[in-house]
Amino acid sequence: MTTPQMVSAFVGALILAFSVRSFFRHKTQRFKALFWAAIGVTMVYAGFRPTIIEVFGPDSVELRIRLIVALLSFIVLTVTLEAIRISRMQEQYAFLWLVTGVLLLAGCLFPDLATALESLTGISYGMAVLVVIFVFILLMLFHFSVALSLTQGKLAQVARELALTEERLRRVEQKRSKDKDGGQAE
Amino acid sequence: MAAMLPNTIVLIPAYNEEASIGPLLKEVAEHLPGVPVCVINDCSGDGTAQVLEGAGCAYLNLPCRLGVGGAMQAGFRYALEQGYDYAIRLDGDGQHPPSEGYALVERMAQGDADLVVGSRFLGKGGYTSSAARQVGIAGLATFLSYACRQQITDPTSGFQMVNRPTMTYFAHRYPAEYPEPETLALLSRQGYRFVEVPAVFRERQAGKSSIRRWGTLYYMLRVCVALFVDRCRAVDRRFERRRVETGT
Repeated sequence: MTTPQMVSAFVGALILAFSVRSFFRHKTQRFKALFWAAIGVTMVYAGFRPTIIEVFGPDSVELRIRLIVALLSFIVLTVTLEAIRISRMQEQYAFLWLVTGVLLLAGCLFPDLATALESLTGISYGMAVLVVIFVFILLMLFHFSVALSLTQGKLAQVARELALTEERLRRVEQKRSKDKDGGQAE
Repeated sequence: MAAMLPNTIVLIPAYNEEASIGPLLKEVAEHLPGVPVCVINDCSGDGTAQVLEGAGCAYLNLPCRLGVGGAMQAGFRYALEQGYDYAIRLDGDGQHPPSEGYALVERMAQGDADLVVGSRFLGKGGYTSSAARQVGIAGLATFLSYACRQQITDPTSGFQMVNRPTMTYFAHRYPAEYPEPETLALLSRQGYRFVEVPAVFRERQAGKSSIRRWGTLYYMLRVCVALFVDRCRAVDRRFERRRVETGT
């Protein structure tokens, strides 16, 4: 083990320890802690197996794509989960996002899947990822237009009810003020 | 004459009609005496709301713009809640002269129609529309006549009178934008009967039309899509004509 490797492993272990600690102590936001934990794991791993650095080298395109996709799925999953947790997003909308993230993750964790897909459809792994993302974005958009139409219908209904209630209130108020005037006149 | 059909209300959808709504209300009071009016103010940006405040008739202020269809639906809901048996629609721009309302009332009094439409193209003359629009209307009329198996000459006319069953259905379902042709198709599918009577329209008294120049083409497209979509949907069994109570 060379010195840089030892340094990397040591710093990685430190980062990992602190991020895990803060994850369980709720000191920071969870996905921030997860992010740092991932960096820590990578650094420790790089300390023992420097070959992972080669991933960033120009000679293994496949691996680089996998790494990028792993990062992408990681971001998608954590952000979605976080959005559900602080209830900014309803589960029904988050569902498609979760599926997208899981599919991407599965693709980069099991390269055999990717090869099977390649032999089945003839498109390479990188292209397949793009297609998956594209299809899911289309699905999301479709989902949004449906949700939007429903919401618009409901909004119109609420607006009508409000106008009717307002009219009723106006009538009641008029009647009341008329009654009052009548009472004073007598 | 108005006594012939008691329990009738005049519904006026209005969007930015501050100039024409006042004279129109006066005309209604003159030609259809004793008939209550409800103006539906579709979130106008001008002084329509202020005019209505001093007008002394019932009015609904919609909190956001719903289009003429959404506004009319609010009006139908109001008429239903208040227990009216018939409703006449007059457009807020003064296109439909209240004096012509009698033609609709007379036809409705015969009792065999759920919806009476005042048609510009059944004889009497008067203001019709620009040439381009007339071509569009004619095309639409041909298509709708075929779809409804009944002759329709003026599918875009908003000069209408409905009875309580139709009101009940409209309060449940009414297209939001450019509703007139679509409602005819919907009614015919649900088993309601409608007839046309000749009516004389006027040019709009003030303000601007909501359909712009290229809007005519867009209107046609939208209506065709809507008709197609409606055709694909199932008939709403709950609101079939024979199931909706005759009211009162």
